[in-house]
Amino acid sequence: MNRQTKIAAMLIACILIVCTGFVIMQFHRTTGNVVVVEQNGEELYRFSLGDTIEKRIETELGYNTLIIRDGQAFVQSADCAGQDCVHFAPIRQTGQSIVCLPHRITITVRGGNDAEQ
Amino acid sequence: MRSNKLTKLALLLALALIFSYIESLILFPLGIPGMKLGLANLMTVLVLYAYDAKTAFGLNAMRIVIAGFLFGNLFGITYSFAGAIVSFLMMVFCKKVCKLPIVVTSIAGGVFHNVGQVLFACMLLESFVMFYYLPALMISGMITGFLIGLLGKILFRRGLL
Ligand SMILES: [Zn+2]
Repeated sequence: MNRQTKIAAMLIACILIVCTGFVIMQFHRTTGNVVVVEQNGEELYRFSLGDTIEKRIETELGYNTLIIRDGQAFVQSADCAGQDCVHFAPIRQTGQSIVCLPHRITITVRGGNDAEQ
Repeated sequence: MRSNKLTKLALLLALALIFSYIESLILFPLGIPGMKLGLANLMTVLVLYAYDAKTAFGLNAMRIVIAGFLFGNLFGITYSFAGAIVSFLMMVFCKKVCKLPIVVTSIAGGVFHNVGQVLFACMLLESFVMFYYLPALMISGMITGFLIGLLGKILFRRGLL
């Protein structure tokens, strides 16, 4: 095995190890029960995933309409560039997020059972 | 610049723009939008191996700006640049320092494009939530990187560049 092959094998092995680690972590995830909305790392809202909610999240950067229904959350509409947050698949598992980069907003499912507000 | 090189670069840029257009139509199969498959990276890898890093970077920057204005928006341009720069540095490192073959360089480019975008998203959002999607993105980057590298290798072997 020459030097190039070694480097290439190491590179691919590293990627695979990282991925397997994450995949194993995924097995420990379960359906969450709290939806946390954050902007720039600061919590704005916290909802229960079991409720039926339609919330217009207004910030100085724009709005995102969050819908929670049937135990899953998604963004119905937003006035951001690209509309990526609207196209995210609905989330329900702990750790899953919907992000709106132009609005700096993250909507994450967490496992904690202290749903308030 | 010789007209031969100029013609080839122009053709590659046009091809890369078509790839960018196709990508803008495809939603990521996992429901993670904004993350591209990295098809346009074929052009960057080819130019990097056929010419040099400077040419490859210039052409890639042109591709991102033109594609951004045609099929995306200003925000998409900055997001694309974040992935492209990390991916590009990694590919130059693979080619120049490690002297790796085109297929491996392309895999590294594909994976680190997505890594760069996730890191950029983390910085912007001041949150690590996007790391949840990193493994899926790394695997998809690896697959497209491999296919693109293979295609590049075939093009080189046939003497098309
Ligand atoms: Zn958005």
